[in-house]
Amino acid sequence: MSVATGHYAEGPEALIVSLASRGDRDAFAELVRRRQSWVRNLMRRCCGNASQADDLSQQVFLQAWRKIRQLNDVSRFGSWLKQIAVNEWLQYRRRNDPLRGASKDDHVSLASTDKPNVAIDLDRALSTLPGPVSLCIVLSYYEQMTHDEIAALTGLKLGTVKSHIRRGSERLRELLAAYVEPANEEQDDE
Amino acid sequence: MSDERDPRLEALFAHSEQDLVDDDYTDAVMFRIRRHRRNALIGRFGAVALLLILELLLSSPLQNSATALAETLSTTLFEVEGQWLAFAFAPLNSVAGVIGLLLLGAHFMYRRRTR
Repeated sequence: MSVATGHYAEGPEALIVSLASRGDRDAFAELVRRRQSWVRNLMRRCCGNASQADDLSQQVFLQAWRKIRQLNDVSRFGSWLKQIAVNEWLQYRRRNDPLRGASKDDHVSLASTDKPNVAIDLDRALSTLPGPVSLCIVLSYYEQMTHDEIAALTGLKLGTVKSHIRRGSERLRELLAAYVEPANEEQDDE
Repeated sequence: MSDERDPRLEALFAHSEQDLVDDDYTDAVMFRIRRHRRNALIGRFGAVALLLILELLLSSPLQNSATALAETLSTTLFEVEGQWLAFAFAPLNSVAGVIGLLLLGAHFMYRRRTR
């Protein structure tokens, strides 16, 4: 980490976004450092493949760097970055793996309930869903977005978003039953 | 269906979130940005260099061809006595005038045949 980036670590995000939009690369590196975990997690949930997700998330930041001068309201950086991430994912989906979602009979095998395995199994379960369904699920559950917001962000109709989330949730409950049911039992015990 | 989420799945999503902060990742992103910037610069310099080369190679022959064509088209076909008469016949008394008349004739012929 450079000295300049070290200084930026303390600064408010709006100021750093403003500096990055004027071409300050150290400021942008600080934005990458702050937002990478969120973008990478989002892409991992969407993609189901860690290395592919990291590649896509790097592409998201590259697009952000190219377009950051067009960002008028620096306080909207987070939602603006989310829009870029979703667009990047949709473009990737259009270019690649049209057969995704064909393996609907896959079942997730569960070895333990430690955190990395939960993430891996969740990603695997999500990867068995059709692309738009998994995207809606991720935006709803991971991003805590409302159906209206998801419809606005993805360009899908509200009814389609609701249907995708309903179907996706049912499918995830089936696939991840071994994770979901013990939690219920624990709750019941309490 | 409302915007309500299944709390069990919600908990699973929350539990699966990992802290993925990594300096190597930041370096990789910044390397991509530098590479993109370098490639864009190389592309712009290449385009400018190509235009300059084309300018050097083609400007002189193109200029010469245009001058020769203009001279040929404006060549007078016959001498006309009298300044005013020469001025009046000037649009027709040249290679360009003849070509124009020929094209006009061809156009009328075509119209007659296709009518």
